Amino acid sequence: MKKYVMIAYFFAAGLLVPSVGYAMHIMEGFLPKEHAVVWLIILLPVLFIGYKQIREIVTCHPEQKMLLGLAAAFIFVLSALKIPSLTGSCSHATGVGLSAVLFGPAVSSVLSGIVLVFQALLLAHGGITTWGANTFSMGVAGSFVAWGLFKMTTTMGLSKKVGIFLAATVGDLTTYMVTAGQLALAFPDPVSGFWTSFVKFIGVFAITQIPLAVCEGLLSVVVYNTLVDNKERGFSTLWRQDQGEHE
Amino acid sequence: MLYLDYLAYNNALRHVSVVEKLLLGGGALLIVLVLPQSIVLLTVIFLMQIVMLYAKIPMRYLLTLWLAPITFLLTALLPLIVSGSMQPFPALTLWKIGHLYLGVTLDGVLTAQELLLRSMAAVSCLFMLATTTPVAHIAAYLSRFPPLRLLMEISLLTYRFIFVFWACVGQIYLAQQSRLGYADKKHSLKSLGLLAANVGRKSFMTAADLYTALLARNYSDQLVFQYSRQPVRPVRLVLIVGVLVGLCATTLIH
Repeated sequence: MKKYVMIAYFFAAGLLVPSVGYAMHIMEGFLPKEHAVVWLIILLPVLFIGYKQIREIVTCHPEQKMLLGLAAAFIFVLSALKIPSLTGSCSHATGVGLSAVLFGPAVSSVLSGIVLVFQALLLAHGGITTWGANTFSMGVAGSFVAWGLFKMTTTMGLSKKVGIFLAATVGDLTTYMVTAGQLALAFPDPVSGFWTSFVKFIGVFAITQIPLAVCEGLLSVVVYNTLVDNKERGFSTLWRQDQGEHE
Repeated sequence: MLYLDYLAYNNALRHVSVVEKLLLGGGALLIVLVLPQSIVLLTVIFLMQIVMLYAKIPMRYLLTLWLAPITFLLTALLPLIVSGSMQPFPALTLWKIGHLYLGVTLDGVLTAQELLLRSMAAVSCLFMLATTTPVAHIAAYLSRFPPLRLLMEISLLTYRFIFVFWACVGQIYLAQQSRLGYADKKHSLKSLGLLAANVGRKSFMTAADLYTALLARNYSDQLVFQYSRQPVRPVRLVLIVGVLVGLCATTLIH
C-alpha cells in the first residue's frame, strides 16, 4: 500500500511540478510561526527605508505616486506572463531583476511587497503569513543582488545587455536559493541537518527555476532594450534618477 | 485572475462588512499558526469550505484554485519525507544509491503530515478571504489608518491598473499570435519581450496622462476611492468572535 502511495505521489509531482512555475513563493501556512515572525522582523528595516524613499519621492514629485502604482501593476502583469521555458513547460517570471534595475533596490522591495499581496489575493499564490519570507527572498535579496550586479557590470564597462541579463538571471536564482534556505532553516533534515535539507530543496526546485531564470534574463534584455529605445515619452523622473545608466 | 476578482464582487457574502470577513479569515489564520492542533486545523478547513459554499463560490472553481498550493506541497514535502546521508540511518524505507543512503524517516513523515494539514487550513482561510472580499475593499478599509495611507493609495492604483494592463496584454497577444509571433520558441521569447516592454511603456505613459487628468479635476495629493461601505452587524460579529473563541477552547480541551 505504502509503495503505491509513494508511486502515486511521485507521479503527481512529476505531472504537476514542471507545469506551474509559481512554486518558489512559500505557500500560506507553510512556515512555523517563529520563522514567519522572524522573516517579517528582518524585512521591516528594508521596507521602512523603501517607504521613506517613496515618501520623499512623492512629496517632491506628487506625479510619482501614479507611476509607482502603475509600475507595481506592470511588475504584477510581468510576473503573470507565462514564459516558454527551456524544459518545454511554461513558467512565470518574478520581474525582480528588471524592477531593481529600473527603480532601485529599496523602492523595488516595497513594490515587490505590494505585488506579493496581490499575487496572494488575486492569484492565490504565496500567502499572508509567509509574506515576510517571500518579500525578503524576492524583494530584498533578489532586488539587491540584481541591482548590485547591474551596477558592477556597468562600472566594469560591460554591455548593458550583459548587465541586464545577469541581473535578471542571478536575481531570479538568488530568490530561489534564499527561499530554499528559508525552507531548510524551518525544516532541517532529521538525519543530516540544515545543509542536506538545503541541497534537497535546491534540487527539487532546480527543475523549473534554472531554465526559468535564463529565460527571464533573455526576456528582460528584450524588455529593457525596447523601453530604452522608446524612452522619448513616458520616461519619468523616477526612472531618470539613474538616467546616466540607462542611456 | 479576473474570475477570482469577479467572484469577490459577486458572491452571496458581498453585503457582509469587510471588517467581519477580515476578522473571520485573519483570526482563523492566526489560530492556525499559533495553535496548530489537528482538531483545530480540520475544523478550520471544514468551516472555510462551508463559508465559501454558503457564499455560492462554484465547487469546480474551488478545486482548480487548489492546484497551485497542491503543486507547492508536492514539491516542498518531497525533501521533508526523504532524508539523505552517507551513513545508514534508522528509517521506514532505506535505499542505497552509490555511496548515498536515501530513506523515508518517521520524523519526516510526521512533519510532512502536520505541515500538510496546517498549510491546507491556512490556505482555506486565504481562499475564503480572496473569494469573498474584493482587494479594493480591504485596501480602502486599511487606508483609514494614517501610516498605511500612502501604501494603500499606491496599492489601489496598482489594483485598478492590473486589469487595464491585463486587457492590453490580451489584445497585444492576440495580434502577435495572428502574425505567427509564437510559432516557435525563439519567436515566442522575442514576442513576449516586446509585449512586456510595450505594456511597460504604456504604464509609464498612462501614469503621466493620469496625473494630468487628475490635476484637471483639482487633485490635491490625496486620492479618494469610493466603495460601498457595508455596516457591521453586531450579531454576526459576536458569532464570529464566538467561533474563534470556540476554536481556541477546543485546543485547551483537547
